[in-house]
Amino acid sequence: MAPPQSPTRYSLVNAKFQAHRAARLGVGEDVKLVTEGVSLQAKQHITIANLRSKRFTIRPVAQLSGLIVSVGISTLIQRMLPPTFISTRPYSWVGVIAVPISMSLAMFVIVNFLNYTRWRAVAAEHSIQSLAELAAFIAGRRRLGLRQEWAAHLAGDSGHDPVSWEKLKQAVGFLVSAVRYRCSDAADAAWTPVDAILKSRILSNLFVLLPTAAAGCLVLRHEGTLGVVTAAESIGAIGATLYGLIRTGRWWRNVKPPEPKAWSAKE
Amino acid sequence: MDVLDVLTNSPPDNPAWGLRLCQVTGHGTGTIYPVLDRLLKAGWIKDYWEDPPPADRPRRRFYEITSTGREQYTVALRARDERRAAWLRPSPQPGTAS
Repeated sequence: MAPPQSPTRYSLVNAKFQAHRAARLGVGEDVKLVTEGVSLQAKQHITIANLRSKRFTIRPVAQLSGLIVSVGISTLIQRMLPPTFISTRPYSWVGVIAVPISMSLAMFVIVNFLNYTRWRAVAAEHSIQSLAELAAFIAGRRRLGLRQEWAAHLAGDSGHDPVSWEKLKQAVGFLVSAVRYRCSDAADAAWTPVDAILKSRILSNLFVLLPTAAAGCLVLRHEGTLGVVTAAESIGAIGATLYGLIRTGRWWRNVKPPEPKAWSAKE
Repeated sequence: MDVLDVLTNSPPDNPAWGLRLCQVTGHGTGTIYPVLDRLLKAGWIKDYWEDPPPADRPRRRFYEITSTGREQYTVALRARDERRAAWLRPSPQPGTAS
């Protein structure tokens, strides 16, 4: 990992992330990488930031205030409801307990989520990895190697590159790639029968002749022989259009049908 | 073309892989990987995994241009140059043609 030139926010956030990740995983090497990768000033900032995040003043106060507010709200709800509402519901006391508990839990989650940079960093790492894995899942079983390939890509040149917005963009790019793979697969599947017709002379001839003959038969049945003579141009136009489609398709798909076989061995 | 340029100029001891292709060409991952997939399907390039696999990071997938791909790429480049030359060549003025 190349050491950053100045203690930018980028290096701070990522250094903190790597340190927490290393602490979480119990990996000593990452901590070493972090200490090598950031400057002294950045390290001081990290220490201050860690101390701030570990203060025990914000979280209990926020949680206690959340609990008080939630109890107040639930009491208010109880007061606003008609007295018969509670007495007629045998399990209404569940709500009296569940509302403050759930609200304080929600407050706990929000406060912790906002307070802890570590959580955000870990969430960022997991989000990016999840995006890459989702992309590999979308890409399908035929491309199982992509999971590892994209993991290596996200790991970067050093193999331990920190989380950054660039990585998020790359992960979104993986999603785009996966969708494009699927579109390509779908297009290939759609072209398969068309290619089969274009490659085979018999199928190509049938594709031209069958609709033309069917049109001719229809006209013959309804209009008689005179009708066929009259509509000969239209019937011919159908055949010509279909033949044009075959020729255009062969050119477009770069398909060459096999050479026609000789009628006899002498030829 | 950019991808093929990088693949053509990659030395065997330092083969190209996804991240490097993105860095050198300046294209995003959403462009590079579908291009690689199409080139693989066309047989212009081949892929292989890093061997031996490293212990501390995921294995990389390297790409290498095949002899067919090299030939086809040369032909395509020549055709493109000819098209460009024909496009840039001034059309003969009426009366000046001998």
